[in-house]
Amino acid sequence: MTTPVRVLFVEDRVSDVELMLWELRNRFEPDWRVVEREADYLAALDPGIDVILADYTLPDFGALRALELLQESGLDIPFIVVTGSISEDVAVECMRSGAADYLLKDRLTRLCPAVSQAIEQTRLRQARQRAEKERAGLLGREKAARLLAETAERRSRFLAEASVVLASSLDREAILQRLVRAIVPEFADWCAIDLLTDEGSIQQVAVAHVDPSQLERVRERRPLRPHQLDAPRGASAVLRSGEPELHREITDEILAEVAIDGRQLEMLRSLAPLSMLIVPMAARGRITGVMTLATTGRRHRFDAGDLSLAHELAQRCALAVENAILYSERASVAQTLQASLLPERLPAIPGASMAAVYRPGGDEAQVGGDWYDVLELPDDEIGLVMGDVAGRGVKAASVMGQLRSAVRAYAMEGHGPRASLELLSGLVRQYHDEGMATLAYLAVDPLGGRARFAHAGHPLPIVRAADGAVTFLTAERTLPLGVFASPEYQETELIVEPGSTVLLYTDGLIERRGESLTESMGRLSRAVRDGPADPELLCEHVIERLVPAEGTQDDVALLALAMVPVAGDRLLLELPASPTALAPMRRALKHWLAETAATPEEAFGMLVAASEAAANAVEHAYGPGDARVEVEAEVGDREVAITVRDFGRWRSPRGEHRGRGAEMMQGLTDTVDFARTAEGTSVTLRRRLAKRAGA
Amino acid sequence: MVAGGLLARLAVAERDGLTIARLQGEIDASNARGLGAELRACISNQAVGVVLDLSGVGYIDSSGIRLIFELAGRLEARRQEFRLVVPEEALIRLILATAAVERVVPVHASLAEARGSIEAADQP
Repeated sequence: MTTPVRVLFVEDRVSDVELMLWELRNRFEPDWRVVEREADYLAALDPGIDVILADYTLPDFGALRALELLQESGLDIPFIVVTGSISEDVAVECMRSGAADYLLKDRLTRLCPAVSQAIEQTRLRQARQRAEKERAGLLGREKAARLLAETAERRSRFLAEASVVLASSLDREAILQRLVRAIVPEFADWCAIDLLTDEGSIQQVAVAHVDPSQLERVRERRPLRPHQLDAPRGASAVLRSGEPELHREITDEILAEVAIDGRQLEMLRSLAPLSMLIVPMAARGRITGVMTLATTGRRHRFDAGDLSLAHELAQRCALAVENAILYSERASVAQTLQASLLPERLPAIPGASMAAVYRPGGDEAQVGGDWYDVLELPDDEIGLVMGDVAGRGVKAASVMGQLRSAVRAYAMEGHGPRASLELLSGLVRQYHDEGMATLAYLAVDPLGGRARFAHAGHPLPIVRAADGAVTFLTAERTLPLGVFASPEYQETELIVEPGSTVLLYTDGLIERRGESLTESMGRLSRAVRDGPADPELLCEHVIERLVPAEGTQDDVALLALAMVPVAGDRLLLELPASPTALAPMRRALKHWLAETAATPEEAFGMLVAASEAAANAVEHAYGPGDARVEVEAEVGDREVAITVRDFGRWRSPRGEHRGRGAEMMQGLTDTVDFARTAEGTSVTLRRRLAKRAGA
Repeated sequence: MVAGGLLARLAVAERDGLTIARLQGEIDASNARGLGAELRACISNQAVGVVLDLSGVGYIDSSGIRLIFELAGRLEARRQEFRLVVPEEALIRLILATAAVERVVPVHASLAEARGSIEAADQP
């Protein structure tokens, strides 16, 4: 069933009006008019209008001006601002100016509930005003009337002040804390706000007491679990029914009913309230929490007028909280998007140890476009990529997602750093018309150290040699991606020595206001030179030295790679318990075996046997997320021994396949020994070599 | 996305009623299942036989051996011939020998040899 509604649109776009009408027709039968100029608006205003939907910005008119004119006219018509974007300033300004609500054009599903609620609130307010008028007239006594008028005036002034508080921020906790402080002592001696959590319990989020020293006692209210929410009176009853409670006389019996448990009862008794109000907070038809107020002996008991004031306050508060949640959702969309575009963990690659750090800067709602990735390339190389997309927010995050996927796709097709940059440049021009992006790309063979590097306008990666000497990977300056349609980039070939560490980063690490680039690059060089070789520790050290404690405006991303030598009599590899870790494990083992006296056949047999054992271990290893497998290889006098350990429960080999793996281990080595320990299972494979080392 | 990822590649061609599947790279527990599925999807019922060319395979373990045995069972049931090609000097011969693959599938040193063998078997 649809309800007739008269709507006045202040809007210059016919298409937006049509969209809103389409949405409204789900619940209403709209009779409407559209105005876009001030004069037309004034002419159209009449008391029969149920709701005004106004665009925030029109060429020569706007919601704020329309709201001002409405208030000057003295008409009580709910006014809803419809904006294309949600900036905190706009939201705060609209609510402060007296708008009933505001909506995003891309979230018009909220339109019907918002219109219903605004109309309903206005209707209730007018009914209350009429009732109060009648009551005042009926009392007929001048003194009572004056007192009432004074109280009403005090209340409406308080409501106006509280509304300003509510509109002052979009941070939920801040809003509520400020509100309870505005309520106490002006209106009550104690006030608490409990919100319904996603899990269905209620959680106290703000509390104020006329005597702050009593706060500790009052704060003792703990979150209530759902099964405690069945009390006949009090917060839980109000949450269930949505009906406010006014307790004019507080007896111990009532306290016992309202209290959830003995401790709370004790707290309430020591508070000794004279009267209490418990009002629901409802936004858009949903109860989101309750507000509890108490007076003690030092003031009057709450009455029906206080109840309606508290109710009105709770509604506004609920709406402000809801808007704060919407805002934080917007912020977290960009953050989630960005976080999902960074690798969850870096791959474990024998021969190389890596670490990455990402620090978002400035405003959390404005996520930046810094990103990094580690790729496994053909020919056993790994690719380290660090990029920065100009701009912030969801757009920058989505462009960086496209770049990241493209780099991965180009890598699959065998394109190296230089070719990837040239292809990416076209992509940036196509998808990020107003912007640019910088990128540094290092492809390195972790076992031999051969490397290729190319960059597009990106801050230069820095290398710390085993002896602590610091150099930049190249001195070459290049243009960012997207400046030219078909640019040419250079590729530098180099060797990353064993024991050295390479650090890639974004400009947020080095750019400081009032400091020249030479100065900040010098600071970076010194920090890297003095830093530890371990990539994780180096990242921490550099952040500590270069990033001020209060954070940076820009995002900071760091990616460090340390080259670990794979040679000697003993090799210890740690791999994640995943089948995809088998190939990199074999590469390191093959590299190590080639340095021993084993013949190619002996080495290959051991390689396959060890890989079988590791595949077995990967299947057995268990544990949340970080399960790992250890491979330890040792060469002695004419013998190679490889031990593979998992840290899972022992399970007997199952099926034909596992039998075949064990058969393979037996067939390719001299001895296979299984051992079960408390931590897991280990398999040791031994094979005698035909030749002595050096022979 | 290729089933073998970066680790292995599969190319399949049909010639004179024969399916010639060429695998390159490494076959292990991470990609054997996907490669097996891709292979099965590429072999038509009409083919007289299948030659699996492993000349470009540098590594194979029991998961690859299982792939071969499963394929052999399937082709046997459909009365299609099956041959492997592995160069004489290839290190993976060591693995095929350890698993006694030759008892189930004939292994040839070259593609020409494998084709000749199927043609000979196909004659009435």
